[in-house]
Amino acid sequence: MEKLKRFVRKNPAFTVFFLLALCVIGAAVFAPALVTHDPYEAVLADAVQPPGPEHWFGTDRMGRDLFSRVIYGARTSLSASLALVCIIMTAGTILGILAGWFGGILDAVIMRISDMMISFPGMVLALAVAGILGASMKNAVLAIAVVSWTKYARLARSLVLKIRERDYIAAARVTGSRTSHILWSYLLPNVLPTILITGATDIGSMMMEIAALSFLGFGAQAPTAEWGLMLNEGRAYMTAAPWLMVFPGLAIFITVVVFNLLGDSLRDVLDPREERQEPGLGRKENE
Amino acid sequence: MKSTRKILALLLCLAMSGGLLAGCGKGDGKTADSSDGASHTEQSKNIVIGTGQSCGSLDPLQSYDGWYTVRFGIGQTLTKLNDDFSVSGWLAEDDYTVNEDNTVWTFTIRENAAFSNGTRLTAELAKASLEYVFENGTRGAEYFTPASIEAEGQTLTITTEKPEPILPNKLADPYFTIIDTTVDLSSMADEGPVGTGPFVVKSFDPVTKETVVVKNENYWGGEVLADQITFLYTEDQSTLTMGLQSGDFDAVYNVSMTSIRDFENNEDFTIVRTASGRTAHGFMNQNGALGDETLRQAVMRYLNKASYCADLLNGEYVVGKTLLTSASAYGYEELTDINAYDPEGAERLLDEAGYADIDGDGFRETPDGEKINLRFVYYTGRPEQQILVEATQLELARLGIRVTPEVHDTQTVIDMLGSGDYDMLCMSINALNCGDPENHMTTYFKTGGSYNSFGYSSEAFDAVMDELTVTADPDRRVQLVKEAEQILMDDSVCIYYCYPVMNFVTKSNVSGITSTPADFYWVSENTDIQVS
Repeated sequence: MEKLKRFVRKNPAFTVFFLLALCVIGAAVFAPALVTHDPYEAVLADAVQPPGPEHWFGTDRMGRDLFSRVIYGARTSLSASLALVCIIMTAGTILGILAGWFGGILDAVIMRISDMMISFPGMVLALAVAGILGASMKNAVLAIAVVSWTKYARLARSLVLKIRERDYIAAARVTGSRTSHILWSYLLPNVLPTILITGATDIGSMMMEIAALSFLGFGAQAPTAEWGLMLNEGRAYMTAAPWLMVFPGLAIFITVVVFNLLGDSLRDVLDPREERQEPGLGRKENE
Repeated sequence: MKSTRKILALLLCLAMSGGLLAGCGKGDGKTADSSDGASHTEQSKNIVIGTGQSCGSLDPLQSYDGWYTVRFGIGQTLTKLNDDFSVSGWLAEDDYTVNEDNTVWTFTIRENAAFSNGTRLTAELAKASLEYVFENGTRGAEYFTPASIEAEGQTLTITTEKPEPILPNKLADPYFTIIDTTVDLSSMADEGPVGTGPFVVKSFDPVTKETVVVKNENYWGGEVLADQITFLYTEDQSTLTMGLQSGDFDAVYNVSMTSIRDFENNEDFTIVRTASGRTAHGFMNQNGALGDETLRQAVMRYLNKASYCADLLNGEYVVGKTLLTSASAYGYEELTDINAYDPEGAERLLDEAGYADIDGDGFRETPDGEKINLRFVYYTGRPEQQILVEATQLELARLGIRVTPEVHDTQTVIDMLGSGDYDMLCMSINALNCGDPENHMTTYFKTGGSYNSFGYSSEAFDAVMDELTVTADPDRRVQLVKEAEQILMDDSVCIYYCYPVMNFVTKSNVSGITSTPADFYWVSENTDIQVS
């Protein structure tokens, strides 16, 4: 308890954003208890009602309660972006560590593929992939994953290149440690904090990208409650019923800000050195 | 270091929000200027029309592309549909005649009519154009079958195999656009035909479907007022609305029901509204789960179309009941709809027929235990489509029928309608394309009709249609059409969602753009813009 108090006092920003993020996650987890209506129940006669005591955020074009849909949207958006970040973090880190450690052909192959990926504008490539795979939430996550893993691969690789020449690695080698042991016990723990911080700050932007794909019709499909899709549905009513766009937009805005700030403060917690060396995202001179 | 970064971030934020706000500004900057402003200096009259509908090519015989030959003012037909669905001459004089059996029609081509390349339109050239339709088009025979077409001077005589009492109506369909067949037709799809209309094609982009037409200097009907008209295509309804508000468009075809109120009582804009011959069809493909009439009936009875029109479509549409619009005299009030709204009845029907949710996923399976997932194909080029499809999806989910909407562009949906690649398909079609429903009913519902891909075949319906084709007496024709409609209703063939009221919203300095019941006369020689 004492420890916790000390931690809170030392990291007030992190605590606040962590609690806020918990609130957002809580809203998603306990959505069924929070909502006032069934988010999928269309009462056609109540279509496009303005916000009021019965419907706090009004109703959408099919007469569904917007508040309930926004709350349920947190489930879709959060689970998708968390899954996405986990996928790209894991895949990117593994590939990056392998490339950095083994070098040679493996390095060349992995890094050239990653070069190819970043030579296209990410969103455009994601659109193309989602277009080919067909429109669905799963495919949207896949499409963004395909174009986003490179960042982690490059990051992990550059960190590995830096660590690999350290004395303790040399010592491990000399004492005859197996490669898998070195990778698992020495490299991964040293790479992980930076990767985690990047991952945490990425949740927000990934959420935006998923919402963007859904907005463009390549992600979630009607009648799913998803913020990007809801924004798109409300677009035609922008002047007649602005609340159809305002509330899903606010939901995206708040969630993204909370997760971005959380990621930012997480860096301060995990990496307290003020003068940190910026992990190089570009090509290293010793590549 | 940290504070510098924060200040930088703040500055960047400010700069970006400034940029955002600048983006929201009225488009009286470059975009608007590039469309009409630049031309104002030379006082040329350029008009930009936004539309959610366009064609895949400029070849009048492809699909329904002929509509655009007429809509864009490139081509004209021998006869023309009036606003009351009557017919009068256009390239032909009004004095066309027919023999007693309705098999020999004689038209006089206007003396002064000419193609845009200066060639005078003779009966011989009109004949060549009509023959070209029958030789190269797939739908020609669904209108009529000529035994012979003869030309002498300006007199065109069409002899048909069977009596054709409404031949002038049929010749008004854009499928029979008169084009100059003596020129090279190989690049017609991209460069457009040589027609007789007030405009000629300047450019057509098959990808963006942007079409630019310019004044036909040789127009036979007098002076053409506008210099150039650009038709910009986007199926995005808010782009159309906002383009009109920002000034990028001078006119927009069919502004959506959610936005039209923004233009009402606004002196900067003029709205032309017309009840059209259109019906929003919900085709049900019988080569699949919907082959079971019980399922079709349940679907039709479960949909609360009245609520769609009143609550979702802002009352801009009339509730559908039968194939033909309430704006026509074909029995909207008197026909009996066996599938009128009855949600409890629909559930009962399915329960009794053995449609039950066996696997507990919330959706019913067929009596044989197969899963049902109806692919509902639609396009967004017309504002009501998406609403109708999503409302259907939501309502049928409550009934326990899974529907998966699938959106494509209009041209793809038309192609899918032809090939039968759907379970359900939503399409707004002008059933009175000839001022008379005969052709529409033949093409879509008669056995073997070129767009009857949904497996409907009824001897009774075909027999009525066979009689209708050769019947001249107007009262009897109406009677037969009603009979045919009733058969379609009794067989639960198709959902008739609603009848759209069409509109054209123009800036108040634009005149001569028309929204007509026929829906294929948009611009004419009188289309004009007042440039200041």
